[in-house]
Amino acid sequence: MRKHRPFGRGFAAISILTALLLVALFQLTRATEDSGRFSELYSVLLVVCGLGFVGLALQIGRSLIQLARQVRAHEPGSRLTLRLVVMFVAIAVAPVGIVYYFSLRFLERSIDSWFDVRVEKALDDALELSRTALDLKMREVLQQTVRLGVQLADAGAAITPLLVAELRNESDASELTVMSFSGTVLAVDSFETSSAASIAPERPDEAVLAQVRQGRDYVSLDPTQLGFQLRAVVRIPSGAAIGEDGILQALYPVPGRFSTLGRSVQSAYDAYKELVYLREPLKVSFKLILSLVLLVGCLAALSAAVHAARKLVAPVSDLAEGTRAVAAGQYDQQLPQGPEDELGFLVESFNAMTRALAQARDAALTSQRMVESQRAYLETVLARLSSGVLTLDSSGAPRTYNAAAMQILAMDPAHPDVRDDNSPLKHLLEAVAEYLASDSAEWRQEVTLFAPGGRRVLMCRGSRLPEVIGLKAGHVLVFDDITTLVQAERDAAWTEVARRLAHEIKNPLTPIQLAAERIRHKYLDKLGEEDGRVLDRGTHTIVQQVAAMKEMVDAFNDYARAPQLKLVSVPLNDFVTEVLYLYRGYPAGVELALELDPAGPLIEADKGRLRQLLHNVVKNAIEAIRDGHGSRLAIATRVNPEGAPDCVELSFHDDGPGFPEGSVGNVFEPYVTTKPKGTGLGLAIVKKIVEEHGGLIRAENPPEGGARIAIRFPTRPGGDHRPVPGLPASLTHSEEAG
Amino acid sequence: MRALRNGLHGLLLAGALLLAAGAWAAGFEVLKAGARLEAGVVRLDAQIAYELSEAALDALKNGVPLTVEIDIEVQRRREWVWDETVASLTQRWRLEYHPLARQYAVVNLNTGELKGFPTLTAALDAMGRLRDFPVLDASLLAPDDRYQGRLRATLDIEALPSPLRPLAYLSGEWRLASPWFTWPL
Repeated sequence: MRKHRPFGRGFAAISILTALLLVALFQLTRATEDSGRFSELYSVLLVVCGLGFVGLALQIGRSLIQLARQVRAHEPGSRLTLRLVVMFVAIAVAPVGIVYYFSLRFLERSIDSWFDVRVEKALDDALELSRTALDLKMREVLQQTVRLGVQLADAGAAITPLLVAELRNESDASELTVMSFSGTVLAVDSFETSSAASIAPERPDEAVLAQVRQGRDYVSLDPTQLGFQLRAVVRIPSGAAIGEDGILQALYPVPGRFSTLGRSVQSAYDAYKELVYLREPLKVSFKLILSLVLLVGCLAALSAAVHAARKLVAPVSDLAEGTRAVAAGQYDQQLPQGPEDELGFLVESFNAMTRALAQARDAALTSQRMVESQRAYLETVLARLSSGVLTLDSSGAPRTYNAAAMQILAMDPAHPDVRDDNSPLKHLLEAVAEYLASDSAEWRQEVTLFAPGGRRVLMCRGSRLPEVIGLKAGHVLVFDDITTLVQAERDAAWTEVARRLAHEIKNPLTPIQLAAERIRHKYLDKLGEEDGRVLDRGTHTIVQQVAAMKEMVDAFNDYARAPQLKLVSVPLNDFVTEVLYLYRGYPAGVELALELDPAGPLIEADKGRLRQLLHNVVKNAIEAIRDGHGSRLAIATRVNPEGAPDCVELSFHDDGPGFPEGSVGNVFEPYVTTKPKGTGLGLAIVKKIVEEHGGLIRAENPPEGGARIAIRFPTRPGGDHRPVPGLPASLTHSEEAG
Repeated sequence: MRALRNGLHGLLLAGALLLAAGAWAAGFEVLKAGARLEAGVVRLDAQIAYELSEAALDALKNGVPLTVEIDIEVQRRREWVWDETVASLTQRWRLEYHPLARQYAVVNLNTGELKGFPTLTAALDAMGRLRDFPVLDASLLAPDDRYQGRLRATLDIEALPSPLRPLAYLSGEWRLASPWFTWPL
């Protein structure tokens, strides 16, 4: 889960910045009032506030831009955040705006109310009054100075300094200065005789001197460090003592009461004047600060709105993301703990739900795996069964079958076509149809089928499936290929019959023959010609038939006998050539063609039995060819024919009529013969010999015509002469099972 | 190289003067300045012309004192890097109007000395005249190096009442200052 929340830090920064700004603005207000010591820092504070404001705006702008980007990217929760922010801001801005408006009005009013025309007039009047009062004093001082000047005019240059000192002492003056007309100081006497002022008297301004020179006396009220002083400058009329006119400057202190009151009036006037002058700038400053406070407040509210909205929306967006994840199938996602309210409860419920979902899914998965493994186990078992297993649905159509079933029924594993009318499967189903239709729960039946490989005998057991687990009361058939078993039983029975025949019939034959010959020998001469002829014919027939019977019994004997084989290594090609030498030159009008494998195969065999095998087959074939008006018998040897490694094939192919239809599967059984004469044991003996050598024999009617007998001998005697083909390990479903 | 720099200085100065003259009639200007050695002390004589703008005059008449700063610096000339400031001092004057006496007063803020003048011109003249102003002890100067002094006068906006300051910083009428006036030492 995404837990990336940089806004917390940003919000802290904004909060601190806002607090600092508010403090600075407070100090700025105090500085504007010119009352605090922050007056000197006013400009600095203003700059600091401006910078802080810009910083705050940037920070908030950044978070707003981030929000806008998230909204554009459709991040979960961002639109809700935006709506909340807009709402918060709308709620905050309206009252703040109203307060701002009224504050501005009150500000104007209250600053304006500081000023009153009457106060201004009163101050003006007070100043004027002070001036009038001082003017009286100044006139008085001027008159006194003029008098002093007249007194000085009479004095000589030598006594002038003394006179000046005397006059100063007598008058109220604090300093008297006598200057020449050009402005050179001639004599000075000061109240503070020892002070520096006495040495360097205050010279009047040049303009004043010029005025006095023109004969106009000068008096003024001068500001000093301590308060005021009166300055009177008069022209000393030219007298006897001084050759030319001089100038007298007299400085008088302003009496204490006048000075204090004057100063007080002036400072009040000054302050009021300044205040009036500064009215507009002051208003601007207050408005500026008020606006700054408003903006800071608004920005702080905006920032708080963004922060609060994000905090509020965070669990909602988590929930949205979590829901998406659950919809996408991820149940293992747990949301972070929400706040202690309804949202938190929702988050907790969501977590509980996803936990339950995850558990349910895991349980389902486990059981599915168990089912899968059981199914796989069952499939493996069924695939390894040598018995064919076939299930049918309620309508009798095949549903599933295992590999052994496919092999027994000669179905193509890649394309099991269950609809083919000639297929062994169809024959099987037809054969058991009456059981399927009946109500019997279990049954067994031997079924004979005609498969491409020949006749097949199946032992088929069926049972009705219960009408549960969605199988709709189908059937299951289990069948075994017992063709070989039946064949072996039959062979064993025939062998027993032959042995018994040989034993039971052969014993009386010799006495019968001897008896017949003796009768003939004793009574042929004694009988007449007519009788003698009958006797002769009779005994002759008996002897002849007994000989034939003997021959037949010998054949049975041959068949039943299981002689001890004397196995030697036989070069098959040479041996075949040698044995068939007898048949060279078309002894019976049949051409023998040898097609021998140049590899020169060697087999382990008993020569006598092998010779008998060859004679039996060739004789049988020649008789068949002759009957069928054929002319050619091809005998071939082949090492490692396709599909059968480690063996040698000896094949006989004629161009006769072929085996009769339907008897291809049992031509090797005793007394299955199509020929007018013969014991019917020839090919049965051949088969016996082949089996004695661990070989395999097969008869077929190849598509190109004629008959073909193929014998395979193992090249490794004692080895498994019949490799069992591997069975596919899967149970195949038929395509049209339903 | 030095000629080039001097030329550049001159050009800049002329440009600044032109700008000052073109932009507003009021302004401060150092008319002349010169130093001399007297009893081991470098003393400065200078004359500065102060011409106040309408706004400044208005403020003065309404009881707002104006403060003028005179910055004096002595620099050691160096060939490749900027000049090193050896000494720098500031004289501050306050000009105020006394309505009761109908006089202008000039206060030297460094000494606290106050002097009244019946007219503004007289007050500005007095304020603009520096006589025998001790700058520094001559022993602080190395005989081999070359020095120059420079001088300028500015209206101190920070000394104005706080509500006026933002306006004063923004308005050209309040930005009263002379360019640096340089003289060889």
